[in-house]
Amino acid sequence: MFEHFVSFTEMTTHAIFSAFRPPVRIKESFQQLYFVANQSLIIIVFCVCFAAMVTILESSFHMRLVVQNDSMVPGFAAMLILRELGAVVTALLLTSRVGAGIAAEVGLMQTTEQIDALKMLGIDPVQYLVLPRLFACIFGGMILTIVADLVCIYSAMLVSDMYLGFSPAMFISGMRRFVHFKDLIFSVIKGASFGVVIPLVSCHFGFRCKSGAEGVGLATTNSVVTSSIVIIIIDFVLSYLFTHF
Amino acid sequence: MIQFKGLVKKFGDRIVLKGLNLSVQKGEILFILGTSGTGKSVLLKNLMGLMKPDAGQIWIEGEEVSSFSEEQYLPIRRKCGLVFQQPALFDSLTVFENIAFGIRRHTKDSEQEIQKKVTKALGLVHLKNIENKFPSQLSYGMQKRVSLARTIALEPKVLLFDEPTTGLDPVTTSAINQLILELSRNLKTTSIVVSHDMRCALDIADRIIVMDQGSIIEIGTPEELKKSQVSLVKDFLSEVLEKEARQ
Repeated sequence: MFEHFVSFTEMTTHAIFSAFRPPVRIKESFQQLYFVANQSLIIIVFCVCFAAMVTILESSFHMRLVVQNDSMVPGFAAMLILRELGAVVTALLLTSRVGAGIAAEVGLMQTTEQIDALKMLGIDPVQYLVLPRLFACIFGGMILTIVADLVCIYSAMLVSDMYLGFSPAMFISGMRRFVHFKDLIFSVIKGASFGVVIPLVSCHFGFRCKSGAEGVGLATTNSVVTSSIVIIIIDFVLSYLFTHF
Repeated sequence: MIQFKGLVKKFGDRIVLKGLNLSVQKGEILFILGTSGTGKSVLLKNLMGLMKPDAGQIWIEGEEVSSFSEEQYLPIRRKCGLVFQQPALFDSLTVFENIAFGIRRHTKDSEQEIQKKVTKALGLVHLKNIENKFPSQLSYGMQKRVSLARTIALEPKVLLFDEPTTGLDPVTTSAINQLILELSRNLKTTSIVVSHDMRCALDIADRIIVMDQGSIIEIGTPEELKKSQVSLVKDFLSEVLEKEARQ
């Protein structure tokens, strides 16, 4: 555990310092951004849609049950979506799709000596492999979080119109009483923070991958589990901080 | 040119290199033979800073490099080429891009010059018209030859081979052995070859060392090794000598 922490810190520090050294890998960064953002878009839109629908239905059910009135549901659901759901569901989906992919790719490169080959060719593996993925996950995480927030609110609005009796105008009016622009900013900050976690944790496990199919499988599993745990912890810390604003 | 002094490398409780001492002269072809798991590949990786020794010193051209950082190792790696046990080609790049990768990193050659160097390197390993293929479209033997081409394209002063001919057909094996010999004789390249191929070692090596359980158990020229009384050396030699006797 301690050994993991030390090597993760070393790799992260190395990544931060190498970000300010040439060469800037623009082409690789945009290739990764395409992989992270564009190729994950459909699955994220699909999943957050359903998550938002469940959220608003459950909110209405519980408010009716407890306070016999669900008039605050649009505002409450919209705030929950912006402050929590959009960013966290997006990050967890990115972890399983992108994080697992990064860990498996870097892990396989480690076991087939490609990382050593990079070093022999004078290429810094952290700068070559980690930085483009870090850039892609930070920006991809921010973009996807905004898209997820909008899709969530739209789908919640549709469900509340069809099943809960709130017209779109009522939904937006209710939402404006609770939700402010800063909530969207908080959501984007969460998206960027989770975007930092996914590539760093995945590359860390990839670099430490043991040889063989079992080694790659283990690196992938460990990266997804650890990223998910770290994301949930960071979510708690950020949510706590944001309650003060 | 290269010197190991009391080199020790451990993996957990297992000691892979036990205080190894060895000198390699400039322009020499040194073969390292031994059974699997005796630390031959580990020795090469320690030399190139891909692993750090637990004790001992490594000297390259008068510099003690065992405690060098990654940054400090860069100019040393520029002078040396390591052909890995596995092809270690970058899957997402074509053959051309794989070979051009290091040239672009280390030189300011134009695209035309890079093209020439890539074609020349591929020609040396008997490959042509595969520049646009991806590694996954090549056989294992071809991947190994591309890996060798990627290394020699940078014209290193020191060439390190980790089982360069394992998995290759006899014709290609012979061509690669010939190539090692030519590079060494014509360009004065120093070569260290980790191998199981005693026949090849006897044919082209200036010196051969035999390792067992992390230590050198025999060292000498091919002629000296043929007279060795060490049982493992005799085992290695027996197959070759029997084959010669049958012919």
